[in-house]
Amino acid sequence: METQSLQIITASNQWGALLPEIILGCFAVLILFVDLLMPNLRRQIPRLSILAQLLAAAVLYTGICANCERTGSEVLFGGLLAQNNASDWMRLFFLLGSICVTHIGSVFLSRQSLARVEFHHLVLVVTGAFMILVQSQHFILLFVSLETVTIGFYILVAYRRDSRASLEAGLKYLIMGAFSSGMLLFGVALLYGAASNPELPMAARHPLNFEDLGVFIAASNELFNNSTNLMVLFGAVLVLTGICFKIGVVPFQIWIPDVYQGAPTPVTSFLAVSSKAAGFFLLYLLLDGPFAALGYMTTPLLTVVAIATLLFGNIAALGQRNVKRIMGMSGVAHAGILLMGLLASLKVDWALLAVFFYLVTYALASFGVFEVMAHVADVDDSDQDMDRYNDLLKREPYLGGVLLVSLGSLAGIPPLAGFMAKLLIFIAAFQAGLYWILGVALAGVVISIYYYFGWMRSAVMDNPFLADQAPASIASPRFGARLLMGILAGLTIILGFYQGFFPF
Amino acid sequence: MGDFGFLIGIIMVYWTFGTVSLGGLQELAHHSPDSVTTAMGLLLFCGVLGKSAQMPLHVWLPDAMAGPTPISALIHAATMVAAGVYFLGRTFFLFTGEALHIISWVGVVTALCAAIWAFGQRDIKKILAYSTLSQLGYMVAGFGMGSLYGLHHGDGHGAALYYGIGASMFHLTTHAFFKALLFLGSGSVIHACHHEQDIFEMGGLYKKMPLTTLTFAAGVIAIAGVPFIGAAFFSKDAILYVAKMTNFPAFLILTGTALLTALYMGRLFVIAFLGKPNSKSAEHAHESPWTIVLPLVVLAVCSVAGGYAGLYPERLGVLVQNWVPLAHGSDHTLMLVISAVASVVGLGLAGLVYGFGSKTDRVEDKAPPVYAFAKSKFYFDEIYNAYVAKVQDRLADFVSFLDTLFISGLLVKGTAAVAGLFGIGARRVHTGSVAAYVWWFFFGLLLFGAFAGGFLDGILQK
Amino acid sequence: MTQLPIAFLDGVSACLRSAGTSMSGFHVYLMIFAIALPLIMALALAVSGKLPERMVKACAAIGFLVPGLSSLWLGAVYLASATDGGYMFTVLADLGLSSRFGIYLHLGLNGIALPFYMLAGLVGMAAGFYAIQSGVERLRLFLILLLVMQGGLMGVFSSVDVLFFYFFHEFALIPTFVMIAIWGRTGRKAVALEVTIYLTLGAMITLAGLIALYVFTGATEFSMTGMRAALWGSGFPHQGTLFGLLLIGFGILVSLFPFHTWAPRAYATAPAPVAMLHAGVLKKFGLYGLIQIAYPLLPQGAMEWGPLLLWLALGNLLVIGFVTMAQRDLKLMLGSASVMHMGYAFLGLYAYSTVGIGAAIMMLVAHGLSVALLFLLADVVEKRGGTADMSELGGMGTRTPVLMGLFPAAMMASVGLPGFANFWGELGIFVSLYASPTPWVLYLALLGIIISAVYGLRAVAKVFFGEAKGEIPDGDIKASEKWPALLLLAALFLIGLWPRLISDPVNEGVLQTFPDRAPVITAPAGEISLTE
Repeated sequence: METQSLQIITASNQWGALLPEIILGCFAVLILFVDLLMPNLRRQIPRLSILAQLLAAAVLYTGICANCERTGSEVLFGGLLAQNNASDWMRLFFLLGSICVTHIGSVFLSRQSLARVEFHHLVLVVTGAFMILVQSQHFILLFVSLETVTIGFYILVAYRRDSRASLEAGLKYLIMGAFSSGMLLFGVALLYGAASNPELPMAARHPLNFEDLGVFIAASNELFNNSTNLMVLFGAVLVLTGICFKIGVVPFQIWIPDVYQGAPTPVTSFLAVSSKAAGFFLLYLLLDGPFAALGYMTTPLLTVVAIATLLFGNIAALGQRNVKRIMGMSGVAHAGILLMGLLASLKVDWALLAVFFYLVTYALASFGVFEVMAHVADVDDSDQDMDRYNDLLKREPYLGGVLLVSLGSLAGIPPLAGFMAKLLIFIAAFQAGLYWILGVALAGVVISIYYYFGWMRSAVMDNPFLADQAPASIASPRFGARLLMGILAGLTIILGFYQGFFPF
Repeated sequence: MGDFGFLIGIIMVYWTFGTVSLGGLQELAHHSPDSVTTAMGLLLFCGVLGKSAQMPLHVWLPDAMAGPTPISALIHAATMVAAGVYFLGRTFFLFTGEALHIISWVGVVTALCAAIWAFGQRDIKKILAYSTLSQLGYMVAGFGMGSLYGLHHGDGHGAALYYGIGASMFHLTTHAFFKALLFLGSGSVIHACHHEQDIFEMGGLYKKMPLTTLTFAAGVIAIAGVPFIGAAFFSKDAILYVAKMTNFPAFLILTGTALLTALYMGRLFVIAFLGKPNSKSAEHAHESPWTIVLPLVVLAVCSVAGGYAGLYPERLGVLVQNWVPLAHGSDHTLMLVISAVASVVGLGLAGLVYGFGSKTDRVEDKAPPVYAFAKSKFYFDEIYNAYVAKVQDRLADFVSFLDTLFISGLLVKGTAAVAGLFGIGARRVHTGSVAAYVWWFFFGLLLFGAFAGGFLDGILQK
Repeated sequence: MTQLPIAFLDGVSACLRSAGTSMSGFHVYLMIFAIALPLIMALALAVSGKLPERMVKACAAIGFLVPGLSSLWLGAVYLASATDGGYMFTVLADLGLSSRFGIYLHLGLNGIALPFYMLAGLVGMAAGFYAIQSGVERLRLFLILLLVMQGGLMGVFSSVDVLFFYFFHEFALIPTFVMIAIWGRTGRKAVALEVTIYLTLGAMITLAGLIALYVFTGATEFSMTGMRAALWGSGFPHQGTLFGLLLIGFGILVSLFPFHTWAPRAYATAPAPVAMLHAGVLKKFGLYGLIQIAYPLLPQGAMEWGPLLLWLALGNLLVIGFVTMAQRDLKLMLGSASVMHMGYAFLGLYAYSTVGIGAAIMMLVAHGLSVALLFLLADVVEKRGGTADMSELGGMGTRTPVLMGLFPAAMMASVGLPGFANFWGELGIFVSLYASPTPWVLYLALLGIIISAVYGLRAVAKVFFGEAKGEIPDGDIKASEKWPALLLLAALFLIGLWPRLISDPVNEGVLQTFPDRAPVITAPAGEISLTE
């Protein structure tokens, strides 16, 4: 980066725009101090963390309200960051998501003899990184924030050092993640090389800035057409590879079941929701921004990927009995539907909103499921068979009810929010003319009923074959958990009936 | 089955005339006789086949008569089955000559066969049921031939046009009286004999229950058509008369049937009521209370008197007065002689052949083939049963098997199984080995690279 | 003379209708209430702690009674000519998707919807009361789910908005799956799963078809009226494909041959109130959708698919007819029979005349009542006799005289005996077939009557006559079982004797929905309508 930009960055006093992230960072440090210096306040650390997130959310929401008239993007820090309505809503999404993760984590940790503060610390840091990630307007910032997230996850996935599964998952995530980061970086390097080549038309001044790169890729003269430049193409594809790894679409979904299963439940939920959402938003940023001119190549590529993802995710989830693996594979299937929405959003303007709506409903339902999972799971939470959930509705009606609502929403059953979300994406896909993906997606929904229904069935039914075994020990939800789950399930139901919160 | 044809017939009528109102129909048919087709009439007649239990759709009636109470049997016999005949009377203008021919033969055959089958029965109610069948045959035959007569000999609007209606309805009316009497009588007997229905287990009832016996005798005389005191004498005569005028073979058969009628009713009477008791329950029988006997007496009077309606027509309204075909002159004498002979000979033979209050069926003892012939009911039940068991049920089982095999099995379960196999395959992919996963990653890279390099363009554009 | 009672009844309904027009605000609330109250009661039962059983039952009873009575009241005051576009009691509520998609919570009844709406109310009442008294385990959960189902059913047939039409259907469908899974008979696990997946498949195809229809029509409103308005007089491509999607999607939901295999086992396995509501009412969703949406919007597509539909409908009628004959289990047989009877309705649609469609509606309503009644009685038979296997039953008649009176009556009604509502529907369908380009179908269709008479009578004979086998019944039908049955039987009988109850609104509704389908019947003389 040239010194000139650095000068601009330092000269500008735009830190206020990042106040929520700064709050998170400060509290992340603060809780470490609290843990060290004030042992009698250790029990309050989760609350402190949630407080930080709420504070940040409040600040952010105030900003959103103040900026509601804004139409375009606001470029900050000399082109490193850009804030617009979409990125602001995504930041809020991550904050609210991390509150859930924190809570699930505190429930999870209360049954473990593990260090606690580090978990909360990492969640705050990673959330901050997510928030910066979605605002990034520059490949350097993108890579840095992405790596912050990924390294945080390396630790979080292997958080249960005493568990072989967790460590193994951590190792796998580390190896695969390192690969994907390497590819991403390589792709960025190729793009940088191409875009800074003065022989090519419109060689960029800031080759890694999204806007400049986009102008460069779209440019052509009588000799060269940048959008068919092989270096650009390979660079773009390698960047996409890195992101596809994050969102877990075929063929980069392979790590998902093992890592989801091995990781502690709160981390799994973090991976399943926030990490995936971030990846999708990033994908949208790139496809709609710098890679817009490559649509002739990316659209068929992602179409094939979406179809494969929808098929593979649903089919691989068939016959699974481990609920965390089911969540993993079904998450792959959901990624396929989101990808379909994303492709539609390149043609239909309101489809991005539908994707966002889908993400919200997916998050609500997933956190609901993981919250229940945190209560039902044993100390070793990686080996959770469906049978653990037998008769849950009778034994713990509250957990059972939330599980049913959340799974129903994931399966897309009316009147729950998941149905409306799917419906809107389907309508968008139809308007965009994505008939083939749509057909596969519909078939996928039918298949998905099989495994969701199997799980729901064991939650409402008594299994006579297990009558002689002692019933699994299930933690009764406390007030905070009840409140959180009530909000999640309640919103899932309300959003199924009323979608006026979203500016459709 | 009968309703099947009936419904088609109705729909046909509806589409031809645009209405199913009987009054409107008659007018329309009168104005455009060509629009009435034989098929229409026969299809409508299908309904009658079912409702009035004509051959070959008769099998349900005797079974229904075996139902629990004599009252229900009475309702069936006297009123419900009459619906078919009544329907014919209301729609006579919808039948062509050919249709009427067929109808009359159906009636004749039913009358004859049912009379023969009555000889093979031991159950008092079943005998009465078959006699009902036989009498319904008479009515249908009477309708067919009477209408034919009207069609051929009438001038288009005279009374002759309605001879079919007259003959059948008259017989219907008298039949209602005496059949009600017989069924109630049989009920009284069954009640007295502690639910014994086998006539060979009765015998000698005339001593124990004289009133019932007397009234029952009146009924027997009525159905046999003994001149002047049997109601059927007049109504059956009317039918025989039109038969003679239109269809001589049918006339002969119906006359023979009249003889048989007298014979089997005589058989019933002499075995059940005369002679000595054949069982304990018959010995302990006693006269029924007056609540049962009183209707019997009333009906007996009616059934004896009913026939005289034919003699004093002017008192009984237009139907009997004008429409009943009555023989005149030499025919009158002939009819009188024939029915008198048939009924008296029949009843007399019954006493001779079967013997008062005998314990066993003498025909069965002496001439088993004859009895077996009657008892066989011409194997209608067997044929139907065989059809049900061999054809219908097997077809049903076979279709059901195909349904289970192909649609439920191959199509539905097959799809599910294929999906399941793919599921197993997809799960196998996740071996848990990091090395394999890295290979996956490379595979993905290759795929993406292929897109970037445009290697797949050719394939995708197809 | 015969005009007298009808004139009297007409007078009564005229009074009711004049009351109807003056109270329209009240009726709108009544309609919303009919949907909401079962749901509110379900929610109340779900969140309340330990309630005494009496309270639970009372709450549920209110939840079933109110929709039932309000559907009857709305039916009584309905007057099609006093409305715009044939819809009465319309109400619109914005739920956040109106500006872009034109999706509202849009309720209303037209002449086609009304009979189904009343059917839902009536059968819901009968099934609800039967369920309340049935004494199943975990009664509260059972009633909650059944109430949700009832709310959904009331919504399905009063929705003008297509999305909510679908939405309410799913709403009612989901509890079915759960209830089969929890309270079904043996084999419930597998059956529940199969039904769920199969019906979800149907629902998804339907959804795809509806979305496609919405996008292609370019309607500004995702409602039946809106799409009709958008289409009026405009040419419209892809009709065949769209109609195919809808036909298969809806067809799966109505168990059109060869997508029928889920139905018999589902009904046989489901607890009786669920079978009553599903076979009686919810299943009609598919044909209702075809009549309200697919046929009026896609006449060209309907023509293209007509010949295939004919063979599929005959498959329903004859193939499934024989399959029904081969069943030995009473409930399986009834399930099969209900699949078979759908063939008649499809034949009515195949004829594609106002008579055919109107008669199909009539037939569906009648079938809904009679099949619900039969499932109820079959459940009673199973409870008393200890089994539903007909080869192990027999001779129950002597111990259960009242049941023996009701069951054959219900069976005869479903066969189509005159005097019951089913007769009019079937007759109308036959009449329409006779006038169709392929009148020979009529003869095959009539064969169906014989088939159903055979298995119907045989079932009656096997269960009630013959030698006593199996458990000796410990008593006749109970009052709690008898009254719901009598309610349904009375409705069948009433419609059978006075079909104008249904045929008047249906005639108007069909004529308004299918203005291009001139009545095919041109009678040379006399009055026209058979269904009068």
